[in-house]
Amino acid sequence: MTARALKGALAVLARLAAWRGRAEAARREARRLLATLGEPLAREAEERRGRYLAWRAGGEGGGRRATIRVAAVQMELRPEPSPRAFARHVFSLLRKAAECGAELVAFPEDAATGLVALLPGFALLSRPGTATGGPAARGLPVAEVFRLLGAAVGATYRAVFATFAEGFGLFLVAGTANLPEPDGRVQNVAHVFAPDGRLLARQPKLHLFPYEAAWGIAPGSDLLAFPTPWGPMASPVCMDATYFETARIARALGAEVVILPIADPGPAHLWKGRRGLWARCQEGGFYGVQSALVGRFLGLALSGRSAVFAPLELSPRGDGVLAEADDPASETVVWADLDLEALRSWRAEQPDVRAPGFWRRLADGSIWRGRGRAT
Amino acid sequence: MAGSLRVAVLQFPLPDAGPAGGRAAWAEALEARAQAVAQAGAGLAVFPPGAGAGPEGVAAFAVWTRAGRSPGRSRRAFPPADAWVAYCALGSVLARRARAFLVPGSVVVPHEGGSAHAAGLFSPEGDLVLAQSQGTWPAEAIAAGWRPADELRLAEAAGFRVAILLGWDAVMPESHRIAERLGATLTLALTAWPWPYNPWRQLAGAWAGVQETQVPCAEACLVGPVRGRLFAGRSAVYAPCEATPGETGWLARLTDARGEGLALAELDPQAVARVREAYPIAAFLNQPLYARHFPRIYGGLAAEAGGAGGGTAEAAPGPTEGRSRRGGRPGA
Repeated sequence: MTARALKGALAVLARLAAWRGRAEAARREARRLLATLGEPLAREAEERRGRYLAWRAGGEGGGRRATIRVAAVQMELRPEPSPRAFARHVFSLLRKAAECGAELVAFPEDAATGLVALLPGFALLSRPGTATGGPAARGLPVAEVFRLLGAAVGATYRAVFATFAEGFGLFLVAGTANLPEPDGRVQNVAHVFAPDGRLLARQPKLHLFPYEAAWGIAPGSDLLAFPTPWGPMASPVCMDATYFETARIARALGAEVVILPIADPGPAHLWKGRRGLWARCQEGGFYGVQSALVGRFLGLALSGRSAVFAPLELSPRGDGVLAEADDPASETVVWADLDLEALRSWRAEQPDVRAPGFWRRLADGSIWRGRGRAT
Repeated sequence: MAGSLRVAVLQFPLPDAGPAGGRAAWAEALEARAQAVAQAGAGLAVFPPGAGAGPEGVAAFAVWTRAGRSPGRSRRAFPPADAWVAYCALGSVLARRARAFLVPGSVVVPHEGGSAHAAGLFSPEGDLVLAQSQGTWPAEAIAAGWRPADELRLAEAAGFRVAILLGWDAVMPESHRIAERLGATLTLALTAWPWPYNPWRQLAGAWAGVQETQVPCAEACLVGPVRGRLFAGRSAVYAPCEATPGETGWLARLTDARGEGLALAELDPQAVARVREAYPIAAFLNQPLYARHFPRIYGGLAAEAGGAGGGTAEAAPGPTEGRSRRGGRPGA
């Protein structure tokens, strides 16, 4: 089949997949599941939501809350056979996080990608024993798939996470979804929902992994902070944490907590794992919440450890780790308490370091000229 | 592309500077280390900070080790007027003895009414091929008279483009990025980590800088006491994880943080190039993002430096939002 013919076929199939009722079915399923919460989870959810609404009603001001319990979900990427199945999958993980008492929960990068199984004929694409090496290796026009399925995937993804954010009364960093933008570009976008179910922030991934660029994904152009009762937070995505530049900007935006959805191909590895958010927490002087995607999907093997990181001096063992998943290949939830007052005190004690001569090149942009490899 | 290079990093206490020591004893102790470099067949070697100071310069170096470590601890140093000349004379001898490119530690020198922390790279023939002073400082240290370098410089050595990162320079990711953008293919770091030693703190410095720039780094650490303060560290040669055994991110790393030692690594530029080809971090730098934020984050500092050719920043103003207030307190 030629690429043009395939694109045409995908367009037809996507119209089927975009059936609006799918998102509504997912929302109904989410509500049904929430009704099963029972005590004390339902009461705690209501209390959390109430605190948030009071904070909003007060103009989002007042003193910042000093401590927060955060949870990082380690989620399996698997074909979601229906929007209702996706809702049940997310609910099972969120329930565990809520049972831990978390007020903020993070999901991984590509949390919505299992929904591409809504595409009729997906089972043929994912058949075992066929080509390996990921979707691009199979000749799939990946960005086209995301573009054409965007309406269905996006609506279902947002319906599920918004309903659960409100139902659990949580700040919910819902991982990311590859979605078409109004200008036609496809971006890998983190979504943050407030405890009232409102979409609080959209954060496109700023630094792509090589295969994403090959797929036709476009990078975002700005890092944004979102307001919380604990102060501003930021949620860059995966590879963004490979670059200290992200940490510096997050810190400049006032972030004391950085939430990072990740999806790493290949086997998990201690040292490779430490060169991302862990290192940025040390450079930026903030807490980090990392949520990892695991599993096998369309020939890609994913693994990683969800974790909560801190500046070394604020971690009990001095290693910068507050919590970390034991098994990098299976679903779990890790959580930790973040003491923001301790962070602020620690920050105030640190020397104000500067390199006026060296950093002039960063201020005026001249450092980016010359080697010509940067985008 | 250059062939592989055997790199040596050494850690040792500063030679005895007491009445029984003196310059001759100091030089003799360093020459023994240079001899060890030659015997190891290294093409490039790095001594720890302070080694090049000589007994006359220890007092000023001890002031450097305290600068910016905690509020109120920064003092002005008063190094000998000929500190740099003496350092270069010693360095030239040591490089010839080592038969290798050599950074013979560092020295505190008088500079523009204050002082600077500096080091040089000497060729096997004893010629100075690169001089670099420390560019990154706590504001308090700058206010106390420490003069930041205005530029990070590079030199060709043994087929690599080399930059020297001193103290805080080695810890800050900005330095590693700037070196990478200037075309460095190897950085040489001299650090002093005060006791109690935390290996994670050290790895969060140069090791992390190497991983995000994919430019290898040879880090030499000061160990032992300096005027009553103890230092420890694990000298190492870092490279991108994918180019190292076990994907640890180091080609060699000493195990004893308190003892003397020499670590040797074969640095293969083609292995690093293959990693950069397969996983091109620099290709995905997001310039529009940086252009939006960096003038605000770093802009005030450029003005402080007084424009091109500056680098004599005097007392620093209050912190700019987002700029690094950070922990760790490496060698100032």
